[in-house]
Amino acid sequence: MSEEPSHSRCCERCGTELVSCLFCFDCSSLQPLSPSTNYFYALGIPDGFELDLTLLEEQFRQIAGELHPDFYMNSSSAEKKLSGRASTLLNQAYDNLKDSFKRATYLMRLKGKGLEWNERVLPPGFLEEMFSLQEELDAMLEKQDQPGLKRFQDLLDKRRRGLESGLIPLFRMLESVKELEVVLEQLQMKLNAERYLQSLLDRIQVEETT
Amino acid sequence: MAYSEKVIDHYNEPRNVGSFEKNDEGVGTGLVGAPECGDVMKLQIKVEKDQIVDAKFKTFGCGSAIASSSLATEWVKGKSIDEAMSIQNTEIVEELSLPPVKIHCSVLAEDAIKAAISDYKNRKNSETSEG
Amino acid sequence: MTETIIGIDLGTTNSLSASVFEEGPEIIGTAQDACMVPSLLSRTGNGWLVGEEARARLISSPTNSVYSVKRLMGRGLEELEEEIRELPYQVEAAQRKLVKIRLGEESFTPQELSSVILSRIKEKAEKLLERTIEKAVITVPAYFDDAQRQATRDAGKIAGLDVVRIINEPTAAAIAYGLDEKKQGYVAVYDLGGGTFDISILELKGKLFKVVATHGDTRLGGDDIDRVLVTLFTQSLLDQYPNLDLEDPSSRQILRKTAEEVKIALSGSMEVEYILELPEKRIKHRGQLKADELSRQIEPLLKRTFDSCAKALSDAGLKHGDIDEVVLVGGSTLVPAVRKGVESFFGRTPHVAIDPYKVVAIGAAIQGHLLAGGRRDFLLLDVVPLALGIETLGGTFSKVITANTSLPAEESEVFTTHVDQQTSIEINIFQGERELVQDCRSLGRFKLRGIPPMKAGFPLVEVTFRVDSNGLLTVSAYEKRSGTEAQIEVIPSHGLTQMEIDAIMEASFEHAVDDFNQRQLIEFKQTAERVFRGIQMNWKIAEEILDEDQRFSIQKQMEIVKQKMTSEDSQILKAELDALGNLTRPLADSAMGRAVLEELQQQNP
Repeated sequence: MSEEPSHSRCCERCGTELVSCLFCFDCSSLQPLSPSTNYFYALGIPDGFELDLTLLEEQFRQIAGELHPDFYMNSSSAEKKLSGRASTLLNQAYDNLKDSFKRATYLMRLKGKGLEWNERVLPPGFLEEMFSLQEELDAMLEKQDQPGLKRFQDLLDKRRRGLESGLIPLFRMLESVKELEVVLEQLQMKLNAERYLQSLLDRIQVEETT
Repeated sequence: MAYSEKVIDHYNEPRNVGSFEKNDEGVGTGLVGAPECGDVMKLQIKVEKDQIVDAKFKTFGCGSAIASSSLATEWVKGKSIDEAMSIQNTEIVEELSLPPVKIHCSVLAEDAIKAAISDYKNRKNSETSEG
Repeated sequence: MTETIIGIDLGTTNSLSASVFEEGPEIIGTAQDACMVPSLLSRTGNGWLVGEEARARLISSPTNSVYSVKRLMGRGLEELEEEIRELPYQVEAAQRKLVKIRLGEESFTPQELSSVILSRIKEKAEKLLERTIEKAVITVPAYFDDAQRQATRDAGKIAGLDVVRIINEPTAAAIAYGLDEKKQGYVAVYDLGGGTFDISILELKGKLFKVVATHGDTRLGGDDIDRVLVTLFTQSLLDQYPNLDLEDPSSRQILRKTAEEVKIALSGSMEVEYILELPEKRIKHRGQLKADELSRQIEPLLKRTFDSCAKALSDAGLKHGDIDEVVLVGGSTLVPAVRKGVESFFGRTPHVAIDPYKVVAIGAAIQGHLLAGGRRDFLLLDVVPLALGIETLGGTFSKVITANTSLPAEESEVFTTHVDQQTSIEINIFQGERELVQDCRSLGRFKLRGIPPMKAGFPLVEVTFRVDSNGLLTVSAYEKRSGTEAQIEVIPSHGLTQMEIDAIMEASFEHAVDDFNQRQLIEFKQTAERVFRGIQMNWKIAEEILDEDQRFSIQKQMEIVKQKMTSEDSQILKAELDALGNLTRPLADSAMGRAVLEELQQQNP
């Protein structure tokens, strides 16, 4: 399957090479949307797992400040519609790239196109451990053991961060190895594990806010 | 009771919550998870003469996963292990319009029953081969 | 020139409107004649008295008069039990989950009642700006859910206004403040209005204003402070008159009104003396209240607001010290105890440069100016205030769009069936943060019909939520295997259907005539009284210059006018008044002549 080079399109109106595929800053024009817009290109940042969050933030602000439907209230209905769709896409791109686990999921979908790997993979014994952690949490919530909950939360946060930093070498490896599926499965394992940790964390947070 | 009411009932008051001693005779344990949501479910059956005489579960996660485990344990009781293996939702419904379910919730209970049965069979086989 | 999109702060106690002028954004009108209307209504015959003109009737005709309608907007009877007990007017269940307010023989939805206030604002703005107004930005509390926002939009529609945007009150305040001060950083907006409390934290960076967290309580506000005072007054009255019944609408209104006055008076002094006058009960009761006592009494209320503030900070991942500015909004923030509390919670003196009464309307006007194409130098990035999702089997709430997602937003999730051969799927749309739909707000429902019979778990139903930049939600469902698409018929559970809006609008055209008639009636009655006084004052002259027949006709005509003053038709009154005018012309001429003569004599002694 041939993939469109993700970062090289020119403005439909003035021909300038686009920084973001959504908007031309040279002639201030909205660009037509392609059905498979690359989130990185939408934000005008180099693609890859390791990204500069400050740059992401800055780019988002820059582009959002031009695309937003509020600036197209008096434009043609086609332009109005386009600005709405482009802004939606920009928001989705920003939300998906800002969070490292969502970013990893998105990148895996891009890199693993046409490939298959075990999407339910977990580290050995992980499910058993999660089940007993859930039971432990049950007991703490019942006793309203605040210091215990705090310790528990810190521990989970730390493990989550551990998984997060474990993603970087795997994505680097993804660029250099032939057996992509093996690396993708390793990545998948970390992403799956994170969701179990997150569901534990969610229960603590719900408890905090109610 | 309408099917949807029954499900809500099972959410509000889940039946058969709890556990059996894992190593007791005739007990099969299934532990399954749904990485989509981080749900984890443990379902246990107690078998006497190839009949499931009791079932218990504990589920952490989505409400509908809890409701469906509760329904599944009710359903499985009194069935032979072969019948339970071919679990199917052939409930007669009074009203065919129901809210949907999350995809992973729809399979979690079924997976758990199958895992519990296969655990039971494995333990039984290893006992016979040892003894 | 760009068109004018006015900003309207549709408040629980007061509503006002601002616009952007060459000199900058300001409340429309002058200090003496501002585009401000107290959010009060009273039904008279077929017409309405609005704002100040309705105030006296809150006491004289409490069952025909309405205040705090905003508290009822987009809500169902079951959620309003507590409010309704406090209100002198009658609230009843209507079709679906709507409520109606009974005034005499008729009943009205909160949307209709709010629209009457909006109409008055629109009229006043048109008069003051000397041009027609068709579009407006209206503000709502940040914690208003979709149904409450929709109700506000519908109220605008009924009033003949195209509500181009609904924005949050604290956000509007932040816009007004941020653009005024050209500040950057984190701003906390503490908004304690008449009926609601909101805390919003915004990030002002470059030209973007972004709401990073919002929290609040839709049942906490200045009215609650009034209620605390009413309880204090009641106690003080009962101490002296143990068998007094204060439950009748008129007493309740008097207590409430005094509470409001005392609250305002306590903003400026340490102690206030008050008088409770209950003429029907022949009671005139004097009392005193210290500011400290009020502070002590409202402490639990304030604590609730600071709990919300703490949650907002934690949602935003910020600490108290990260807040660069605190902006106060809402009349209740004028209460010194409230200010002191806010100051000690955030550890900094709140910003008060812009009048907390005006700041919201001004912010809305600035946003209106931007939407009209008047400026491009800032942008408000609005967010979904509460998660949106659907009911999944078992009564559980499954989120599709999470809270604080930037607008416009679109998310999809794939669901399936739980029962074999299920050919129809119920999509029940909810908004909230809780796990069970029974704890969330129902926004609407529709069915995806015509799915071919399949084994349970086999259908793939993709449910898509779209929220546009106006915050308008559309939900669609699509079964991927069969290609079945939803016939979307979203029936708002707490809102009005288009048909209902149309019907109200049609009726309100008739009402517009009634309202006009009503105002003319008041005007003509006043003219009649003036004319009567003039005739009485000049009767001696009449005896001199008019013959008996003429005098008799005048007296007879005066009786007719008096009679017509009690009728409801302004045109008949006008005709009779004109007739009286004709009969008294000789008198007026000569009386005037005499007055002129007298004046001349005084000037030249």
